[in-house]
Amino acid sequence: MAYIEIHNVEKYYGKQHVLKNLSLSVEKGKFVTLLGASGCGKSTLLRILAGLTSIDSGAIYLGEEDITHLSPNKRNIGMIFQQYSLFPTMTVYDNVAFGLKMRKMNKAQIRSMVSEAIKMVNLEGSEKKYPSQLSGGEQQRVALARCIVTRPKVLLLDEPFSAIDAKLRKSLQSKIKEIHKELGMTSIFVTHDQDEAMVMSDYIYLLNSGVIEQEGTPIELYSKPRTIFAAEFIGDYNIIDGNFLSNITGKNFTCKKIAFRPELVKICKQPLYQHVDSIYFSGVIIDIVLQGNIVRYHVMVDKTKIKVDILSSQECLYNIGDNVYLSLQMSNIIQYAE
Amino acid sequence: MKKDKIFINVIRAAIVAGFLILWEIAAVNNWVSIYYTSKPSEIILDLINFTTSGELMKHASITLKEALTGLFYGSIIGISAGLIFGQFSTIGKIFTPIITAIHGIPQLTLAPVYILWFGIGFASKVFLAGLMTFFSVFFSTYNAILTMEQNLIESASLLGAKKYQILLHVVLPTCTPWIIAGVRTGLGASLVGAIVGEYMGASAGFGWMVAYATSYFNIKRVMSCIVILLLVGIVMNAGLDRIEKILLRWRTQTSLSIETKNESKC
Repeated sequence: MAYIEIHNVEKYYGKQHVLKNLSLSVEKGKFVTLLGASGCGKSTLLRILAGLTSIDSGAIYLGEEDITHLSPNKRNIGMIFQQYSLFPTMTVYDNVAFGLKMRKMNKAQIRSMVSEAIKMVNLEGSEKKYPSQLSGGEQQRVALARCIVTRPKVLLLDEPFSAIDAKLRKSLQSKIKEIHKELGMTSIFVTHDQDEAMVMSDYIYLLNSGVIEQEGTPIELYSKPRTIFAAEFIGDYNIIDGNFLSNITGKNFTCKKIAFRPELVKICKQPLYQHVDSIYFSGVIIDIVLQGNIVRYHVMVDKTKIKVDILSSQECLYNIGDNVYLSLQMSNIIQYAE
Repeated sequence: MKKDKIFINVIRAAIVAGFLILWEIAAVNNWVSIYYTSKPSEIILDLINFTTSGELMKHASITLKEALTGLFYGSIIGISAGLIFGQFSTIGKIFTPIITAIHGIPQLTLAPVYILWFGIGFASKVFLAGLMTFFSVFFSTYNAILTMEQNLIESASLLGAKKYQILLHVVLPTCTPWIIAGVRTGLGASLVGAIVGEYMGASAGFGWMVAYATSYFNIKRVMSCIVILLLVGIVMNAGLDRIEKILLRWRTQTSLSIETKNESKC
């Protein structure tokens, strides 16, 4: 039996069916992400795990114990919210010590555990500050310290980086990963950001309208999306009609939809030497977008836009309006019947 | 910062002094009738007389005792009711509309009824002062709980806190600014309650003194009472400011004005 098991959970908000017979399991010590668009039920599932939202049917097990109807204060599950949710009336020290005080631990023990947690999140010297005197990133680190100090059985993270700027987000991501490994915790992370999910996770559950669309390691989800939704959500895949590709390449594709990743398309100014295991087509560059170390070309092929990514370390060889030739290995094409 | 404080105090004192001087000049030159307004110099003399005769202490102690007792009970009941109604939403839904309806009745019109119920003595004034305090404290506390960030309660629960611990350590401290604001309003209301009660029927107290002095056109005594009540209000509010400063040291002060400072770094 896995460390966390969710069996056939159903949840309705009024007439809205939020979670549809959903089951999943999490191994101990893993960093698992619930990934999906807004309204897919990922945060509801996290709140159900925390005991903050009840379920209509199903069961939840934590370490072989049935916690389905256990109140939140008896679960020993830590949760970090998007809005930090620090107690505004307490100092950093008192915020972090809160959980230990509720457990009626002695003062010396509390002092040593709080100091250790504050050190872990690099906030030494801020013990006497109030949350209103801290930046967003610092507040989120206090929230993290407040959670880990009680050594929870599971750490739940509900989009904890969404209110934090990009640079700070990366450092906080690595801090959380570091602490997760150091303490050997089991963590469940909720996000709508596929890049964040890829960076953070050992395993990902992709949710869509209350059901699990696909599950797997980040690389599995990225390289083998099983559905068009997964392909669109995870890899920013090019998704085009099978008929269209048959027409422009002369090869026969019987499937309805075809997906391929932008970085697997080769681009050249001259016609390419044709191999039997590849397809070839040409188009005109209509837009160029610099995405950090990647340059994305939008190439219009007939009336369909194809995304092509190349490393920006290479010289920018192409301009808007250039005629270009594209090639793609057949093995990099994913075909969908529906 | 210190300069700002001195500037504000000087301006404030200048406005008050200017008003008193203008009043005195207007009364001396008969621009206003001294019969209706008295004049500051006369009021000061009356205040001295009022104090040295021992009358001031007698009436002040009666009114303040009524007001403070009402403030105490009204605040305690108001905070308790607000917390209970906020915690148990069904009770809140049942009783809040009833309390709102009672609050809608002008309490001054009910003062004679309270005197009928509780007699002409201390109890009726305390009841009126307490009731008027209760409304402001109750609504402040109740609304503070209703608008409180739900995540705070959820966080506390996940950290192992029981319901009473959440109430004691999270809800009550977080609602303190609103509770204090309610008590501050209640402070004025309790004085009004006590004085109106004395108007209606009493044999001592500031309310009785004002009514008595007015009936004899002793306007300087009426004004003396008003000055004393003004000072009582200032002292009580200053005390509350102190308490607020201690209880709300976690809160950052905000201002609607945007201060731009030219700071040069060498």
